[in-house]
Amino acid sequence: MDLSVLKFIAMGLAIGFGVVGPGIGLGLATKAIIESIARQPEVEGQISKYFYIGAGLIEACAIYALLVVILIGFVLK
Amino acid sequence: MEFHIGQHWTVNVLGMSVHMDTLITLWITMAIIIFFALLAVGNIKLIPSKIQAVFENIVTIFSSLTKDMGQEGKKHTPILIALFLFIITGNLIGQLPWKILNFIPAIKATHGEFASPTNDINVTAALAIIVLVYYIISGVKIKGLAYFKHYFKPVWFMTPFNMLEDIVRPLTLALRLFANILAGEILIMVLAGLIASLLDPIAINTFCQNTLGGILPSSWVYNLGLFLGSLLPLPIMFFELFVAFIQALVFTLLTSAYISGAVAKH
Repeated sequence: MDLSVLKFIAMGLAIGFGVVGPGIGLGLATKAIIESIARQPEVEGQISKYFYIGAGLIEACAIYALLVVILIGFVLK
Repeated sequence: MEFHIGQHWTVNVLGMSVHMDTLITLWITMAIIIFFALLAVGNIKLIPSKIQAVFENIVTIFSSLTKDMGQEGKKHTPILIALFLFIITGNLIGQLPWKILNFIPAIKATHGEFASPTNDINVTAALAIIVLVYYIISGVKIKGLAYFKHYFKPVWFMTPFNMLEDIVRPLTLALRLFANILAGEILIMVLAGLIASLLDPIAINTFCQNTLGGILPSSWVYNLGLFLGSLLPLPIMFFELFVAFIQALVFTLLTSAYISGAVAKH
């Protein structure tokens, strides 16, 4: 098979499998914050900032997968 | 579609290759911060002016982050504020329309890409190494050579893993910031070029002749499509403003966590 075709397959697989974990993680984080706000609506302002920071950290994991995809596709020859 | 990633306007200075585009946006970032800082501290009053109140709030927020750093924790406030202000200004400066500089042929010929200074990994790696050196030095200052005992805790064979931590921390700090900003810019670039690459003038001509019955000239429809397509990256741009703030905050909070881990008494 041509090497460039393999490269495209690798890019697709890398981002496809790479976003599974962060997707599950973001889902769990959102579930947790919605449950805690539903239980105690007055704490929303205090805990939502931690949610945003955590979401930023989780999102970075998906971005690492994207970084690998960029490395495979555009940087590594 | 023309698609370049990670290309820089490289200039050789004394045998080192310098990314001029990153350097210029870096200088603009520093100039903005220094300008507003001088404006804030130039005329300090007991009853603060508006800009002085803003900066006082920033200082208050970040000195509250240093509460768990012991008695002398307040002296770590300046590096946190400097990192936060630099990263957020650098991230936000990338949302300015730098692409119009490509209309100047001399700049387009350099293949440079004017964007956030933080979308160059050299900048973020430098920031992360500053953080690494800073927290090791502040740990040594507080505990002396006993700081290095933490490598041998809890048992001696954990030493390689504890040393690996000092490599992984700056690596993830640098990569997280760099990749988030780069991914945002790639996303905006792809979405901005998407409609233009999908629109087919011949197909639009046939559509206007057969379906619309020639009421509208096909060039109007084509240009309308291009205009609507150029609005496509707008939501992502707003999201990038949010990401810029969150990433600056994450970088600063992790730095404060590392410093307080290094100076904490066990």
